[in-house]
Amino acid sequence: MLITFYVAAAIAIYSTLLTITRLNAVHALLYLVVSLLAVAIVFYVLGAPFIAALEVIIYAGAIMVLFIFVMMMLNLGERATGMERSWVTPGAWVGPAILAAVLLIELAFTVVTATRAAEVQGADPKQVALSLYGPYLLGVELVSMLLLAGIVGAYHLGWTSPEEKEAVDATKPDRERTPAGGDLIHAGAGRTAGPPQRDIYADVH
Amino acid sequence: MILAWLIFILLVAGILAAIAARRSHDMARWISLAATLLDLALTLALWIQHSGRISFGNSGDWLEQVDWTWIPQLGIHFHLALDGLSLLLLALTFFLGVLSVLCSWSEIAHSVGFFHLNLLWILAGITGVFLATDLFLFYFAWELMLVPMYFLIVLWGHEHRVYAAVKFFLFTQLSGLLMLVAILVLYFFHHAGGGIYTFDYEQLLHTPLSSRAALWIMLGFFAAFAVKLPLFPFHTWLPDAHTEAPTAGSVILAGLLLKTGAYGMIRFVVPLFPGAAREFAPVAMSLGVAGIIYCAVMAFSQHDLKRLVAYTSVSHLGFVVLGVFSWNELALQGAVMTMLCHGISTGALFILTGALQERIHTRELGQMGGLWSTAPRLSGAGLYFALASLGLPGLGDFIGEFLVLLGAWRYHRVLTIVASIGVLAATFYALRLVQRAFHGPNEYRWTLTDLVPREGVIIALMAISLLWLGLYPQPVLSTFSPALHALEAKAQATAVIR
Amino acid sequence: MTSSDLIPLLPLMVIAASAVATMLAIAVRLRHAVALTVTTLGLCAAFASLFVAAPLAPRSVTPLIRIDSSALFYTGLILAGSIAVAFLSYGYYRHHRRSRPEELYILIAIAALGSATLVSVSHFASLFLGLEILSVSLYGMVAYERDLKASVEAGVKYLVLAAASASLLLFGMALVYFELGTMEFGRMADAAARPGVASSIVAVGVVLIVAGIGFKLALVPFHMWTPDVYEGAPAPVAAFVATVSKGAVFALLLRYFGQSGARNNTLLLVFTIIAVASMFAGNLLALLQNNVKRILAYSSIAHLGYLIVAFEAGGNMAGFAVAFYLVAYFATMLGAFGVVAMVSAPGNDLGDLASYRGLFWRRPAVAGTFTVMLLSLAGIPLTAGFVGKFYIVAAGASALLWLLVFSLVITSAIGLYHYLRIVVALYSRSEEPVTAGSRTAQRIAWPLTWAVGALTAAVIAIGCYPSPVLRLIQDMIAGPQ
Repeated sequence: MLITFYVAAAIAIYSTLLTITRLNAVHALLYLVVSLLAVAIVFYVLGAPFIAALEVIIYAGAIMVLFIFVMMMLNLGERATGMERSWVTPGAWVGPAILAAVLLIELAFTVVTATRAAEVQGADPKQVALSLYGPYLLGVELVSMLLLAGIVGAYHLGWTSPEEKEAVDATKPDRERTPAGGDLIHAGAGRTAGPPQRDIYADVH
Repeated sequence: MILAWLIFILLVAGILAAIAARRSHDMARWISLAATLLDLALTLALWIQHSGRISFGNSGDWLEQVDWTWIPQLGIHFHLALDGLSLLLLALTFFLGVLSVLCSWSEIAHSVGFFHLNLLWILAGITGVFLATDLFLFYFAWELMLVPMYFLIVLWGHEHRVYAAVKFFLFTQLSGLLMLVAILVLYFFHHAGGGIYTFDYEQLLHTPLSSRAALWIMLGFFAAFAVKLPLFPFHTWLPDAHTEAPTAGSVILAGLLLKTGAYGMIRFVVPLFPGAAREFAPVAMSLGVAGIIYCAVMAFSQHDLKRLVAYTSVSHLGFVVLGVFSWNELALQGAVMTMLCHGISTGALFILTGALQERIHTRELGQMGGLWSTAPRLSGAGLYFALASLGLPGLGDFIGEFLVLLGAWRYHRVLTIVASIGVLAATFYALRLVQRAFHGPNEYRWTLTDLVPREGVIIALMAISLLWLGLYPQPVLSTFSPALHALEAKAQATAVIR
Repeated sequence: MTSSDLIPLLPLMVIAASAVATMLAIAVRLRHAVALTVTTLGLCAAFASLFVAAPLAPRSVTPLIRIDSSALFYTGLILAGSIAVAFLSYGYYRHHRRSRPEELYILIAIAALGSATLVSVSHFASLFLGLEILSVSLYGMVAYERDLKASVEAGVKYLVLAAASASLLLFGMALVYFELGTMEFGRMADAAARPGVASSIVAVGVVLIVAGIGFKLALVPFHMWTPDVYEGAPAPVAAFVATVSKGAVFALLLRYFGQSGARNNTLLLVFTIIAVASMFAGNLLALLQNNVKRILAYSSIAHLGYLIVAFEAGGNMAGFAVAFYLVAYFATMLGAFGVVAMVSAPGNDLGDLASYRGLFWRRPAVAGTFTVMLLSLAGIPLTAGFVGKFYIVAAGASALLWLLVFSLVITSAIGLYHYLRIVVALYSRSEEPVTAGSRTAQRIAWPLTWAVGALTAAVIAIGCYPSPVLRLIQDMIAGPQ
């Protein structure tokens, strides 16, 4: 039991490290999926099958797939297809695949030998639901406001005025599109180096 | 009630002057003059009104007081009280206040409104310090005078003003915060002793303290006052601040701000902690005497006229420390007398220096000489106040220092003898000043306008009051002596309690 | 949870409703004034609802939230601060439609909700949720100028560090829960007293929690983000980060340690080190800065260090001192950033000290206000900051914390120097062309002027006559619960 925990935990850390060091977003996402799966295994081994299932269904399943879909759908056109093909070279998917395979073996091993932590009583869905809508009801409500904050923030950061975007895109070829204003990946780049920015608010003052 | 008015008049007039200056600079000047004159008149009226009451008989009472609840949660009152000592110092404050408004009439040309705001607020702070009998209020006023003074130096000062202002500020602020801590510790000790939270001076006099605690708390107070006084070796901010400040700033610094330090020692340090003060007296007196000699020597070797006068200040205030810590009637009378006279004579010297600088745009002694031939009235005044400073009998300073030496003789003979060497040294620097600046050949061919009527009036007023203090000091002595007597009694009572 | 629990909860619900209402209002009508009006009215209604909730306090609403009088007091302070920030934002964005300022008000309201939650929590779960609501809305607010690299960079920096600190916090909570078996503050003291509890694990957990909270408070050594975020964020948002966010988290700190009885000597030693380091680092590093927003950032680090002095002192006096100091600090910092907002425009925040030179001669009222605020930060008489600092020193001296008191004394003397540096710049006569206050041509919007005017009046009034505020605080804050 202990060994399975440590293996899964090590995979989680390792794949997370790889996630944040990948230069290609899709590769990073693949490792992120592995990382989430590993965490699910950790939960399972520790005797929380319900949380493990949620982890797989919600994070690894829904959210990650959504991420990958969005990323692929944003790049339409021939050039993008070529680029996508280059993403999914064997070098990219072998790593995550191996890690995922290790996790699968672990899972199978755990299920077969039933070496879940016996002393921990995992909560079942009913208990979780009861406490969420009992003592923790306010917490659920607070989470809804948390999500609202996230959505409003993301909406604002991601929004560019349509006219502005069109004006920019019309004059430039596809590959030179200016990144959207809220592109966090570009944040901070060139703040110290590069030419000073034009004062775009010169008309204001 | 009238005591509170003394402060509020200045605060309000300051704001009015700042507003009025946007329309006309002269209006700001007249407002400030009116406010300081009004305060002076009120103080003199108080003096006349109470002249009958001031006697040794009812020395325990305050002549006048205001006591409003201010922050009841912390036991803080807006408590002002006046006795003979405060009365005279207030008179000095407003007298010099009027003069400093007058002497900056033409010197300050830019941002006149803000200048007068600062000037009047410094005076308000000083008034608060001389009147406060609630230690929180005292600290409040103590801090209140700092910031405007800083502005005065930094905005209207001379070449190295920023350096001087910052140095002044850091010294006084840091020592002031130490006093705050000391005040608070005293406050908590009082609570621990009697279960009452109060900052009231009269009540804190009765705080039971161990001698060790008393010594530490006293050192907190002493730090603030010693820096402000300034006592050697904490004096290094003073020559810089005096030199760089505008004339009015120098007058107020030398004439009044330094006196707040001395006043604090008389009013608070010894009465609140008589035992600790007695224990500490040899150290304080030695420092005072060291200051007298050291700064006399320093004054002798200065080339900058203002710096020279600044060092003489430190030297003279050494006598005040000597007097205060001797803590007998003669010495205390001498100390207060020295405070008053030094305020006037040094103030006058600064005004003359300022007038000189306005004319020849330098303060270097080396560039002067022979000014007597071209500006006899100015030079004559210079000679007069230099003589006052060296302690010529017949002028006020002589009385003060003489009394201090007499009183100190009873307490510590060696120190007194050394201090009297300081009086001798004063002769050297004062005569050197006169010799270099006013006598000799006029090598640089200065042709100056002599004192204009406005300056003449200022100088004449100061000269007359100094002469009065020197020839017939009795009214003044009999005004503050009962107060000193009462303080001695308080210290005695406190010493008995502990 | 029953329907009678809803009334004590009213303030929180009204704040949440005002966020939603703002969102719906601007969906119907995308107008700046509409957003401001709806948000402000909502927050004012929440403020009014405090008085409805007050008679029922103290009351625990589910294990998560406990509405008591100190929670109501701090909620009121948070609401007042948020309203001020909303006014500041209006003036700041008045002539700048391009940034789409309307959404900022939704975020302000949600951040206020997070803060108000924080000051009413009694459970780790709600603590974490409150903190996250605050953080997530602040990410959006800090990076609000999404066209500006500096702003977005500040947002990202804040996001990464806040996430890291949140994970520390979570881990700390997990350790405490693991050992004590409860997440409710009120039960922790009893649980810790049980035999067999490994107090070292609890201590590690608490230290991790302190680290997580210390990040939000920008205490040394968790202060690195502060100057960059203050510099990059729009001025009103920086004001929010400096005041509401920090004030709420500080109140939480008091609350947690007051209710859970987690104070012990080791922890106090940790806090002593943090406080001394914060006071010195904040004041000394500010000396090296030439940017007003960065100076204010370091100054806020130092001020939180001062607050820790009172926190260490403990007892009733400390509770009052903290509450009073926070009131003074809120008014002062908001006013200072209000002035920055007055002379700046979005995307062109005037930070550089040089651009403030001689401001007094062009805009005397603005410079005068700024002077009052800076003197209040420095703790000079006639301003609220003076009474606040006095109170803190009093609290420290009453608990005989000499190291802390003398550090405070020395560092505030140093601090004075850098405030005076700004003040001198304001009044100096400069020959070179100046940029600050170049918006003179445009009138400053009245909400901003009024807010800053009201704050100035408050700072001076509290400084001259603090009695009413003190009375309120003594009624509301009953020391550590």
